[in-house]
Amino acid sequence: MQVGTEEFPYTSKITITMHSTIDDPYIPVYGNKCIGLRFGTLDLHGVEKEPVWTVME
Amino acid sequence: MNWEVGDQIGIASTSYIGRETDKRVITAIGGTASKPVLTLDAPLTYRHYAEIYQPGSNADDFIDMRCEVGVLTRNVKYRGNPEDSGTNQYGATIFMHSPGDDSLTSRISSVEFADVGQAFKLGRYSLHMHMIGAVHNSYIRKNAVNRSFNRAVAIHGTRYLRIDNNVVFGAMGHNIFIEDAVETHNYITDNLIIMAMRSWSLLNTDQTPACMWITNPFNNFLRNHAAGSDRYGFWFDLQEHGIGQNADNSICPENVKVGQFDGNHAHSTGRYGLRIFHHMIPR
Repeated sequence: MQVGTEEFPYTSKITITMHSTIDDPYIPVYGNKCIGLRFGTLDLHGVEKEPVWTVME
Repeated sequence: MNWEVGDQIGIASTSYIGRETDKRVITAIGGTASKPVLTLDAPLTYRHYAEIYQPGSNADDFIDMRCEVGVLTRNVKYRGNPEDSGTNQYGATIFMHSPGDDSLTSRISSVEFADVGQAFKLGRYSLHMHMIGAVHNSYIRKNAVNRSFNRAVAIHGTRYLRIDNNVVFGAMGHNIFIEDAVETHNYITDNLIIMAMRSWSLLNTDQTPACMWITNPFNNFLRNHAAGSDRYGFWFDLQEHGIGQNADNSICPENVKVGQFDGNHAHSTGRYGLRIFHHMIPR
């Protein structure tokens, strides 16, 4: 799965919303309401915040 | 600084009570580029200290007590559905597992995770690296975790993961969690953990949560800020042997050499900023 790459991060707005409850069917090991990654590549890259955090003065 | 109007920010506690945090939205940005002044959508609920405390005239003798502020908004957002994730404490997760060194690659940067983690279920952590082995090419960098019902990052049977420059605001249980005491060589650097909250729906040990729960000392912790926790900031809870799925009597984390632990801050923790318990006897 890929949203942007290291070199070219995704620059538009995207929201991925997951649904399910604890009683819904699930994939063994991985569960539900989840992205499960197995023998693959997951690339999620947004626009960097600079800085990510700082201190008040 | 590239924070924008409309971004949500998380402001750490600076009192003795780690939950005295504020979450606000930026409505205007003024000041200069090096010293921006943010206008927020509402007054802050709590007082936040913003000074470097200097007890005497020696310039090298000081305590940096300035309040941490992290930005929680990103353009790429992964979330549990807002309708019932909160009421059910059942959010979204990312579960990364395949057996074997470098059998998967997970590069996650500058993503906003909101309403993640699934309470009442062990192993359903927000970002979960599960029994992989070495992950030389994977990293978790510059993300924001905004409200999790089950940890922020779990490192389970995984080595060489980089967790760098993330902000976590309001996660339940141990926030950065080194699970089975066999995990080594991980780099955990420059993270800000605001308000680690106790959980009654995970392990017993999550009732006394730590921003970072460290079961094996041969990992690297540099410049992290544990900014508020119901109990501990950094907890070296070294195990006698590997535990859980990695139960192994030939591994003795209590006696392993320490990787790096340098430049870390802890404050506003319910009990101890740094706890070493039970034993740490590096050989």
